[in-house]
Amino acid sequence: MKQTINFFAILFAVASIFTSCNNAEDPIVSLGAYEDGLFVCNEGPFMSGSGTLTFVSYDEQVVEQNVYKNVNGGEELGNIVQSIAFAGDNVYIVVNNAHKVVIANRYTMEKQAEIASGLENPRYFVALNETKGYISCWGNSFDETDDYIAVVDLNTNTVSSTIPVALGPEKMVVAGNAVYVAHQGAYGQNNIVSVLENDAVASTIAVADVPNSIVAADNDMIWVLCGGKPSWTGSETIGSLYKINSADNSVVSHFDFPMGSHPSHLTLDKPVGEMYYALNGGVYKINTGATMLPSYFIFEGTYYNMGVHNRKLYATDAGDYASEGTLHIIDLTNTTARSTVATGIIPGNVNFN
Amino acid sequence: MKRLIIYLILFSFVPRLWAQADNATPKVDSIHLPNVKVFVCKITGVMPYVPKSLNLAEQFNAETAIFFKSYGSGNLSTIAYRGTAASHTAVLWNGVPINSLLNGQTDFSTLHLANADIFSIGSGEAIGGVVRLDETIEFGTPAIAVQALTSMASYQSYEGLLRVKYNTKKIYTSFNYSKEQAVNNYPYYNTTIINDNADFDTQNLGGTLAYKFSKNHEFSLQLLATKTQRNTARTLSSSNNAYLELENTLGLAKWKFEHNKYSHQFLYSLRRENSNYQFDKRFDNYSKHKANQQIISYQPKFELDKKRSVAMEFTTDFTKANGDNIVAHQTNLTQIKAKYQQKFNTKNTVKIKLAQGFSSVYAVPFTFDVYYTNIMSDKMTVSLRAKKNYRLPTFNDLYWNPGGNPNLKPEYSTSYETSINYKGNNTFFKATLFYIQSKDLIKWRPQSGMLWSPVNINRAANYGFEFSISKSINKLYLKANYNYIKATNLDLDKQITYVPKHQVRFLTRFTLDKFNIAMNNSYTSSVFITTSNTQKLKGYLLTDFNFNYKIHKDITLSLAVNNAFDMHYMAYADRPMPGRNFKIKLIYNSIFKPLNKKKNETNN
Repeated sequence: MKQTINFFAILFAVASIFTSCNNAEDPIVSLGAYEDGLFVCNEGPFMSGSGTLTFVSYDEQVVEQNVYKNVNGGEELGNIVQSIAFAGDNVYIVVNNAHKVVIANRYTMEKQAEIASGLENPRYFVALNETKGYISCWGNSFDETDDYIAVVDLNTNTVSSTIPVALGPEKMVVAGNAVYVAHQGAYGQNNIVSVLENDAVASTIAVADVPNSIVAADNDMIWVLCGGKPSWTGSETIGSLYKINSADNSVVSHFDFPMGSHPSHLTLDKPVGEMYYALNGGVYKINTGATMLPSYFIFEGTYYNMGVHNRKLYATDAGDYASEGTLHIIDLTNTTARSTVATGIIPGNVNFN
Repeated sequence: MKRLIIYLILFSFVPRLWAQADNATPKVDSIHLPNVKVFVCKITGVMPYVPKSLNLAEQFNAETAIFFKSYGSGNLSTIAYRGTAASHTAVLWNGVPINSLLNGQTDFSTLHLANADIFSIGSGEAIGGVVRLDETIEFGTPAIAVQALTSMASYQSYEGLLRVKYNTKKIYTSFNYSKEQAVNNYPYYNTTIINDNADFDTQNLGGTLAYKFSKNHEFSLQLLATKTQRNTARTLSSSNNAYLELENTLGLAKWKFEHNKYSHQFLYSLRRENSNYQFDKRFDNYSKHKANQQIISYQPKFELDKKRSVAMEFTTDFTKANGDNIVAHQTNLTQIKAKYQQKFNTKNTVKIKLAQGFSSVYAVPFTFDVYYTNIMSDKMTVSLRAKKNYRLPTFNDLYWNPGGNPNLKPEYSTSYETSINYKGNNTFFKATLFYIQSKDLIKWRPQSGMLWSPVNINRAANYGFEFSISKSINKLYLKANYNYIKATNLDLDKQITYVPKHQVRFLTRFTLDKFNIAMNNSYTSSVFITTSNTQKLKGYLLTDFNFNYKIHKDITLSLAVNNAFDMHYMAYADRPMPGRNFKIKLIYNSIFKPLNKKKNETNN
């Protein structure tokens, strides 16, 4: 009996040596389980629970729910996981209603740190360089004058200073040394893009009402999609797609939508210069060289949010907002549905690792 | 702008996400079909009743096997009767509806014990149930009755109640005032979080003045006023800085006239509802809403002979609401009901009620209620019932800005139930099977972008079984309730969220001279919190102990240990409930008959 046990012990020892050898010889070193895929930010049930992250591998073979919680010993992210962004080896997870940003390794999802003070209603994170990040914050939701950008020291993971800005800073992009902030307007509406340089507002660019998404394309071009004020505000305005040259912050052109149309979710497939947006139950495509808006959608569908990567569109459906949603993956080369995978509750922003 | 969306989110769509839908403007019901007494808290009771709490949320929770969706101690608590939505249960105070005119729900945490004598529940003129809070107006030998209660409990909770009744052969008056307040800062288990921003203060004031002009004429005036000031507690995953103030005032006048085979009742009620929500106490931002309602009703009844009677009801109400997020509107609903009752012999009775309503806003469906009872023996009764009911869209559903949908139809249900009742000397039991099919249930969902709007979309089928038994064996009293509910969202073919399949209550009370000890166990099985039934809150067994001691013939001292085994549980996701907690109560009950010396002397 004892001999048998010894035999197995030796066998296992030998086997593990072989396994390690194989790993060592493997030329591609895996950085972690989540290296090759995307994350969906699930906001979570409103006012009654924590948001989560869903991982989907690019080959769509691996789908994992509650990624952060699984890796970090059951720790929850908090109420309303608004967005995530990557910088260096880290992922910055912005938890809106918990007023914090959780920092984890982007490949393993192991928690690194947390920025828990200095953030009130954080919305989006963007890294300006290796040592500095910006977080757009609404401040108190009921104060329209206390909105700000938190400047984060990425070495210490603390808020080093704040930049007061106009109402409702939301999505941001980096172009050169400047950060462009779209002011969607929080619970209200706004119509500007702030340009931040040297931790201060260098200028503001007037755009149409409710700039809800912003992307940075090649040739210094920044595209801003404005939804316009919805009809229930009592002062409906038109939506518009703005093209801004970041070299001189001038508006190159803008494409207006007809009254009653309120586009959203502009997303860019940078290598091919194709942008997509959602409008009235359809997804539209526009090239960065286009001179007019497309007349027809490329396919039908109403989504809660969407992102594009490598000629595939990843669009979320929040369903009834009271149960798990889904992520639809659409092949843009032939606009056919590839697959649909389950997500957490209220799937929102999609980010590509 | 910000505020409307937040308010909408907090008070309109969130509750609706979990439930199949909400609503209900229940109407005056003069034709009482039997409700089951949940408890009786009369001053004149033989053995003074020792309630668990002043507030009806805790009280109904302690006395029934009905699930209450509770946001935490002292916070919003709504009923899910037979698996239906909160607004599907009509709450009637002396026959008049007190559900919120704005959202159709009744927050049982805001109502107190002192407002009535008899608290009962049954399936009446509503998709779900009808909860009745009735004060018994009694004339007779002159007497003064006084009831007072004061309590002190964990987390700086205090209660006070005073109720005085006076009557003669011609006059009946009553007055009541009660107040409950708590800091409510209990710790959340397994965390370092304290339930903060959870303090509340609720006050109820009421009274009745009734005069019997003659043997045939009786006139009464009644008042109910409630005021709730509540910080809305945090959750496990987020903090909260909001504050809510609710005020309700209801005045009710009734004139009853009986003459031989005729009887008439005229009713007029006037009600005002104010709600004031402050999104963040640090800022001057409010969402204020007001509603008021007048009801005029005439209810004649005629006995054709000893076996047959006919009754009619003509009711019209005018309801108005306006506020920061409600575009001012007035609605009118007129209802005509006809009831016929026939006893076929001493054993069989049939009651039929037909009703048609006319609304200024929507087409009101025709409804009926057929109720048959058979007295099988002097102890056993069986009954069968079939009915159709509706629930009207609320002001929030219709006129909320943004998103309200003025084109909503009423929600509609068909239900059946059968019961068997046994009433022995020391044993009572009742078993009921029910089935409720409902359609056109209102649900808020996003229409375009972030704009949410209500639509008549869901269908549900609820069936279940209710069983209750009580037995007295000498000094031991036993009472058990069991409810089984299968409530299915027919569109998803899933159990409706926040409906436990099993609820059990088991009360044991042992009385020895001046002392009694009671143990109340309640088990609630798990509830789903996602409509897809993928996530749930685990079930829980709670045990309360009560030690009551009569320190004087009129005074009882009571010590309660609630959640004695420190169960960690939630009745609503993300909102932990308190662990083991304690309460000391002092109850005074007394009846004087000082004004009838002569009679006292005779008695002596």
